[in-house]
Amino acid sequence: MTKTDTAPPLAGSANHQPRRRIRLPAETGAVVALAVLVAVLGWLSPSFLEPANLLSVLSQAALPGLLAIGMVFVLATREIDVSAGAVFHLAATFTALLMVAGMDPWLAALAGVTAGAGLGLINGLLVIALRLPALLVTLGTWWMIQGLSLVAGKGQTFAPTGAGSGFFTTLSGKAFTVVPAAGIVFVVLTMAMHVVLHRTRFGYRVQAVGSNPLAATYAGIPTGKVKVLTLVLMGAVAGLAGVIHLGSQGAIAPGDGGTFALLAIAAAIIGGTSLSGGSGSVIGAAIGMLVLQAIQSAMTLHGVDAIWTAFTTGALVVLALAIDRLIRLWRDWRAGHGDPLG
Amino acid sequence: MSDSPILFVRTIAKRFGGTVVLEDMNLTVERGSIHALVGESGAGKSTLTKVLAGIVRPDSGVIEFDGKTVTIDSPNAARKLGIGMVLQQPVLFAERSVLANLFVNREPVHNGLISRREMEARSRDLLRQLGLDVDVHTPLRDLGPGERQLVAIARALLENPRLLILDDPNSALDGRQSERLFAALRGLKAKGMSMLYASNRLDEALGIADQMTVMRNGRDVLSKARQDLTTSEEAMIGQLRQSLFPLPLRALPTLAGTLRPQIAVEGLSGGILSGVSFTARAGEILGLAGSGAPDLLALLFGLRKPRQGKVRFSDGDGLPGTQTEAARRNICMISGDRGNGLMADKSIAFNMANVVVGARNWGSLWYSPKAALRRATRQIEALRIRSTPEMPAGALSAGGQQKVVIAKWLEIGPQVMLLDEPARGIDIGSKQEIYALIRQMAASGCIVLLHSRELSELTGLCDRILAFHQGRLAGEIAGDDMDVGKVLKLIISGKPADERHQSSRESAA
Amino acid sequence: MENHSLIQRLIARPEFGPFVLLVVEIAVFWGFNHDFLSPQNISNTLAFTVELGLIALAMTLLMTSGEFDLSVGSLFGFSPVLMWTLFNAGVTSLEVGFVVALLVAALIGLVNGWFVTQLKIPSFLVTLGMLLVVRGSALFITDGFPQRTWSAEGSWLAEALVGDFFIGPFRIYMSLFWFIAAAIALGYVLTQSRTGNWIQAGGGNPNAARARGVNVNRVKIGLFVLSSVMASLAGVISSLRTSAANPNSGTGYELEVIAMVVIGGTALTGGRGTIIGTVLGILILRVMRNGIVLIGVPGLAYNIFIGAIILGMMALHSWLERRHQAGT
Repeated sequence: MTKTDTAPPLAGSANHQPRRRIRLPAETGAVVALAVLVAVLGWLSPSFLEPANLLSVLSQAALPGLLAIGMVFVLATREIDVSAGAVFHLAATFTALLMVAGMDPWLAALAGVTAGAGLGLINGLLVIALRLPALLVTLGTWWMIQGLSLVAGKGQTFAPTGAGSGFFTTLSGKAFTVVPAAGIVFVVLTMAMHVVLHRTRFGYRVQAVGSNPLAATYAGIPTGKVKVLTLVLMGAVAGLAGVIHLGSQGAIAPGDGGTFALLAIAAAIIGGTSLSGGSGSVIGAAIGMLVLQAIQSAMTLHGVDAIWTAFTTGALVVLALAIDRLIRLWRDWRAGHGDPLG
Repeated sequence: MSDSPILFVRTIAKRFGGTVVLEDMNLTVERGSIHALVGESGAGKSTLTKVLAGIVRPDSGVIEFDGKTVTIDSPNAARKLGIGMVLQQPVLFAERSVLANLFVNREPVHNGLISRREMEARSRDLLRQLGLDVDVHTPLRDLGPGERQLVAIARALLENPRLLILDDPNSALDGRQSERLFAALRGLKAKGMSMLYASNRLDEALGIADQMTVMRNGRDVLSKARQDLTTSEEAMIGQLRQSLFPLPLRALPTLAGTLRPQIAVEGLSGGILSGVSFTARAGEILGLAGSGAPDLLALLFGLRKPRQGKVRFSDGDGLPGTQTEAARRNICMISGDRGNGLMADKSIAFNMANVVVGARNWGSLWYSPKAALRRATRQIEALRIRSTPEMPAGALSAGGQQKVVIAKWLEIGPQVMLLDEPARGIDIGSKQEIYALIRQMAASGCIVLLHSRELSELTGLCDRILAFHQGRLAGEIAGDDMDVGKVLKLIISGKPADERHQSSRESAA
Repeated sequence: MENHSLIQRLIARPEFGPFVLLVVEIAVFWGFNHDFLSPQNISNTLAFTVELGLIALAMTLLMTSGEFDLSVGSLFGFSPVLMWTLFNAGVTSLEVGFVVALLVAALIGLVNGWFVTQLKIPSFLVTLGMLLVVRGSALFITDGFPQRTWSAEGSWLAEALVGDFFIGPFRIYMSLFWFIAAAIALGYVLTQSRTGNWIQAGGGNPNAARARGVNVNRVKIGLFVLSSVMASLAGVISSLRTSAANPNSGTGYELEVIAMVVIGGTALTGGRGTIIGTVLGILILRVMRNGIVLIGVPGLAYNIFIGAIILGMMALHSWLERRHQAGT
């Protein structure tokens, strides 16, 4: 195969044409999973397929789903933000407090989202300044943000008055009398973020930084700035989710949003975003969240206790992680990877 | 004492993804001898040594150790056979002490507790012999690279292997340390240890070896006893590289009316460099040789901060503060470690857009995959990369990968190109093409600085070579004067080769 | 090499900083409220401190090997619940129930370890998921309600684990001695035994460790088991001492334990660990908790302090690392 004498053939390289493999989009797995799941659950209990139920799955998936979308960007840069759930809660609490203080609900909502972005900015700046992985930084900020929330809300459920105002009715209302408002925001944001990830320079940079941060730096991509921006985005999205939660539920309770960060990570992974960074799928994450919520909804329909929620969330997360890793190992084994030179 | 060889390697083959690294490799190491394995970088020496050390498993082939066929499937298996290994880049524990590093997982234990005293006793003599004069309790990270390498060597020796494999062991050692190492190795040979010494430095290998095997493109092309080598064979080994290099452009293009872009360096000090001054101009390839050259590249690319000195680039500014700033100013660094420039899991098209899209701060906020594909197709054709734009860059051969790294910079045309052993680990054919590319870059107005530890690469490719000795600029060699021996002399002694008076008591390294 | 004086060497140790911090902290709180150092307060604080402390000791070894275990808090609540459920249902005696609980914990540790070493999933995420699984199981077994616990007087198990007696005005529980024993044992293992070297090697540079024949995976799995068993033990001790078994107890403990270890000087990235430092870290945090309540700061604000301290210590370590590396 290799000739060491006369020049032309490139010695040392495999001399076959690269096979044209059809590369399925990363979302395929998630879509298939969702379709199969819905079919199975529908067969197990026909009431699952009722429109009202399906829409309720959508509305329950909407808010953690927003977090999952933001998490895709963070995961794509090889980072993890575990404080997202606490940001969700603090933003909602902050907004509620502003409303109680008399601010117009829509302005308060805007302030809440901004606060979320601000917290994300703090996370990002700490990552740069401390030169630590975001996982560890957000471990600390999770504590602090949670503490702030508890102190501000005094550990109680907080329901700002003014329930008749337009803000609450809009957010708890339904468009076309069926689709919940939160669901619409979720779908619209999913599509918008999909475009951002794949068609904008920012999205390109996010993928580049996650794929090989050193190469990105050497090419002139401002790696630090990109990471900070993904965390700001995460914070803003978490804040948005918190504000919507407040609007549609009318109150913010101490436990709300506790497992959201973990769910978001699991959903993103189910949807094809990998922990090793470099690529991500927003649509996949959205579908992943629908999968998770569908499972939970089905269990409720079957009369399984709410107590199981924690158990199944945890089990699903671990399962998603395991499958992602196994697929990765399988792909590596097929490609025969290795480091050619020491 | 049996006369059979201690190691017998037959038709070993290994490929990684798309790259064939070893193919039909054969080797015989006689008992109690020092066997040198020579070949340029990319020939497969490191991979073969890793196979013998149990770090890499061959796809096919037979290994016989001490007369018995063996499978070396883990470092532990190699150790049990009596094979000791000193890697090119030793894996050590930076925060732990020298003593701890010497005895990792082999600590003498009394009643369940580690006996430090015994560790100290056992290592004292050996360290003295190697000339390593440090307090064994210092953390490893406080040691220089040369001393660290000595620790790695000591560690292997402490296990009394029957066959010691060394892969380029003195790359970080200075002249005096190298001498002591060779003396120690000769002493070990006298005690009956067999050694396999892999290196791309022909002269050293000739100096110490009893037997020699030359590797090229993953196979053995010549195996002989040292004393049996004819002068023509020696010349052939040295000359294997001559046809690689493109002809230098004798007539450097003159840019009418304007000064050629240049980098002016004055009194630069940083790292181990001190008081370095020179000018690098567009159109020529400037070679950098000796200790201090990597530091210079690091300074120019913003990887290191200078202590003193003035530098002026052609865009008017001084040294860049960070790598990002450097890249933004169109100063690029391409090194032999492709991990610095390649996003392996991304497509070739994605990689090519790194600089054009990723690093631009102005222009479109959008990224068009279609435009990226067109761009990549164009470059693939121009650079003769054997692949399609959608393929992941990691599937390419080493040469192809390096071409992608260069291509992404070709898109915008860098102002300055800093090369650090760019052809390391690449097969001959691709090397040729990459050298031609570099020459093209220089000719089109780029300022090119090239550092390599393979002096023949420098003499073959560069128009001028700056030789560094202990951080100072020892001399400049150009034109017909360019000769590996002259460069070597400057690097090692700081004095040119034809100095008549010998300063016999040179200050020690 | 110059001969460092004893004082200089003492200051250079990583445990020195936390030690100073602890002393300052105690002084400040005592200054605010002299009740702080009353025998009663000390006894009360100490009782719970050693329970968390047991977990922190195991966590030190695990973090030195480069991994985290976030499921310890849920095991703290789950194990006593399991033990009491078995006992109340008449299935086993209390002692056997205890052993069963420990075995189940060990099994969970094995699962954690397996996922981390074989599937190479970050331990943080695996154990976070496991946290929910275990918590969910605890809630399931009990339907969400605290279990009935009889006063465990008379049971030799309770006596051995949490028997109390008075030394002067101080009320001491047996658990203190268990804690001291564990600290000494684990401290020795970490610094003086080959296993300790394996742990440090595996955390510092796993590839190098494997190349030297260290079975990094086995070590890590063992440490996960240790961590789970310790958490389980701590939970049982606490339950016997307070005569309570609440499935929700232990919530949030995992992060507090990690904070204790980090503050004590063990590197977050692994490779270096100190038991003495952890002991100091345990005291620092618990004193802080006790102190701020005594001063009158809302207890809920404790979280903010912990988070701030964690970040502060990480920043400090990071800065020290960089200074060290710049010096080479």
